[in-house]
Amino acid sequence: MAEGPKRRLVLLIALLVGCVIVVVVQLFKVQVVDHQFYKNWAREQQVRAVTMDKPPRGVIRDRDGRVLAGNGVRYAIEAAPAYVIDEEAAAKLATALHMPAAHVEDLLNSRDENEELRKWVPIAPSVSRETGRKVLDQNINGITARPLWKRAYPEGTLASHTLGFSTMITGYYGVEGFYDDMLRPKEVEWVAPVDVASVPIPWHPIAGELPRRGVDLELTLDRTVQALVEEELRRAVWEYEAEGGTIIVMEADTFGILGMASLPAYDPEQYTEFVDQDSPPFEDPAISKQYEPGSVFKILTMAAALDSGVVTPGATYVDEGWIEVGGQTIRNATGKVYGESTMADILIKSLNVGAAWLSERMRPDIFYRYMQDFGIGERTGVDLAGEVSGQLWLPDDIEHWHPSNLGTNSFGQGVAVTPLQMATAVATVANDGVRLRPRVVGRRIAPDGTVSVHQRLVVKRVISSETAQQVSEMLVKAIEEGATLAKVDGYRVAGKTGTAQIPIPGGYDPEDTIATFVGFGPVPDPRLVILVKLDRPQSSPWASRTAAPTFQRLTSRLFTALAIPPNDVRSMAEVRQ
Amino acid sequence: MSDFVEWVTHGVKRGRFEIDSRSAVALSIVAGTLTVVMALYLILISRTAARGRRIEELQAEIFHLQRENQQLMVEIAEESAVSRVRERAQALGFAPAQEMEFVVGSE
Repeated sequence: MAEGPKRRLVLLIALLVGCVIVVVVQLFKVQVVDHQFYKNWAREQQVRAVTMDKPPRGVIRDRDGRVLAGNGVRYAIEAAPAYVIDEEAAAKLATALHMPAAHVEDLLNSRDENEELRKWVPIAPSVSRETGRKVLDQNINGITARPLWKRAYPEGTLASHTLGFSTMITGYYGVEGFYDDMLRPKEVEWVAPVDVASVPIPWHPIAGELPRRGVDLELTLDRTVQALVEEELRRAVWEYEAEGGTIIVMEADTFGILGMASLPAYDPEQYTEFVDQDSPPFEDPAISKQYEPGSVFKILTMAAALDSGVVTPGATYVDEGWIEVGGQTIRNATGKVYGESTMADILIKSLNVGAAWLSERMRPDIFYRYMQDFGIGERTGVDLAGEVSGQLWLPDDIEHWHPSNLGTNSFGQGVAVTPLQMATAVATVANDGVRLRPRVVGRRIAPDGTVSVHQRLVVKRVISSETAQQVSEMLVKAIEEGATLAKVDGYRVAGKTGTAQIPIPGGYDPEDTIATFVGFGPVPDPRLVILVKLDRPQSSPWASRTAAPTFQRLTSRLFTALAIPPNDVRSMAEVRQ
Repeated sequence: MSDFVEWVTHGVKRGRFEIDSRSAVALSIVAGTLTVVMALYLILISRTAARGRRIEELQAEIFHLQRENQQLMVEIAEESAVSRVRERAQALGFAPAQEMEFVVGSE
């Protein structure tokens, strides 16, 4: 070969070898030196965290399966401005969303700090299903309508305190708060390879498990009972010019809550409207606000005295109109002297002196043991968020307890309870002396259809069956001979009024009261326990004139609505059997 | 160096690449097998992709139906809410029962 071509060939080979060396060096740099950087860069482009559509939160129903809290659908309208090529996009969106076209145009042209079109812009964070559909139907490139869940309460304000409310993520108060972990759906997110449009590549294996909807809850609440309770509460608050109030209706043999309402209430779907208030009405006063119960507490004092054997139902005492306990003089609310009085008289005439006499005879150890057994001073354990324990000072608490407490506590002063605590304690008498844990949820239904039934939970036997019946009969008399406005035609009902003073710094409010009536019926074999509490009624301070007639009206309607036959019909049916 | 250059310029001789018929058959079989395997692989991949896409579509359909179902459940509940039922009943002339008569039957 000639010298010239040979040299050129060598040169060419050298050049090629040089190129190869450059390539190899570059490859070495890319694959070895900067390996991690490029690996991460590639990964950022190739994979995305993919979240599957969020399943719905568990549905809350009443005992008959009627929806109290469900899930509505809304849409979030979002844009990827770089992909919006339709020049009419802003106008089309503006029409569908009822927004000014110029505003939408501005959003679609919004730029980041580097003066580049934003990658993602929210146009409308939450629009109705119909509007979302309109946007979807327009099929505008770069515009998405992302479906969202919105908690819906189809009954409006009905049972708002019991239900609580839920944001997009978390439940608060009531059942929503207590059972949040169960109601909350299980979301699934995993990392998957995507194509150039960031769409997951379908042949890559998806997550091992699918998203799971929340657990459905079926309450013990009865929608009809709840509606009647709320109607009567509204009427009572209006009629007696009260500041607010609470009504609780429980099943006597299961302690399942059939209806529970407090005023002021709120619409859980519009909870945001109340958030900025000084004291938003979210807490359920039935379980979260404690008060001095007043004379309804005498029911517990009497039950304790009879059950402990300190007195018998036929016992009498001489009421001199006053008694001294722990150095404090206690008088009857009426200021009268009643002379020789029976045990039933203590409840019928609501004698403070009689109740204090009983507690003194029991002495602190017996009295407070029974009060604790009735659940005073501790949470009932109801399955609702935000329950408080009330307040019961005990003799070993030398800082707070004074010997005079024994006397005042016996008729419901110096002790604080929640309405549900008081209802539970009286329900114990109605339930033959056995205290159960009150509950709101009756059944849980898992996404796979598995049903868990919440069984009645016995806390303890507090008083004997015999004592319970004796107290029940006394309470029937307390209505028939005392609080006659609570009488329900055709039915034997048991109950007691309580007009409680309101503690203020340095003593008690001289004008306002809290009026309570708690009762159950029909006797014997009561079906319902009902507590009515009215805060600061203005038309009359006395429970016998406010809470008692409210109890009568409500009980009468409930017996009809629940088809509970009158006593004579029940007796006839028993005779026939 | 000169041998190498010579190999580059004249080394590629035709005879070195001539193969016999048996080798050609064997080579063809290998090539054919590879082609079939690759074709099968492509078919499998495309089918898997199609199935994957279908699963995605079904999943989206499930979520869509789930949303519709939940929304309808809420709408039905709203239509049959106590306040709505009461309004309708009153409009139809119904009133709350004031008295109930219980009849004691015998078995």
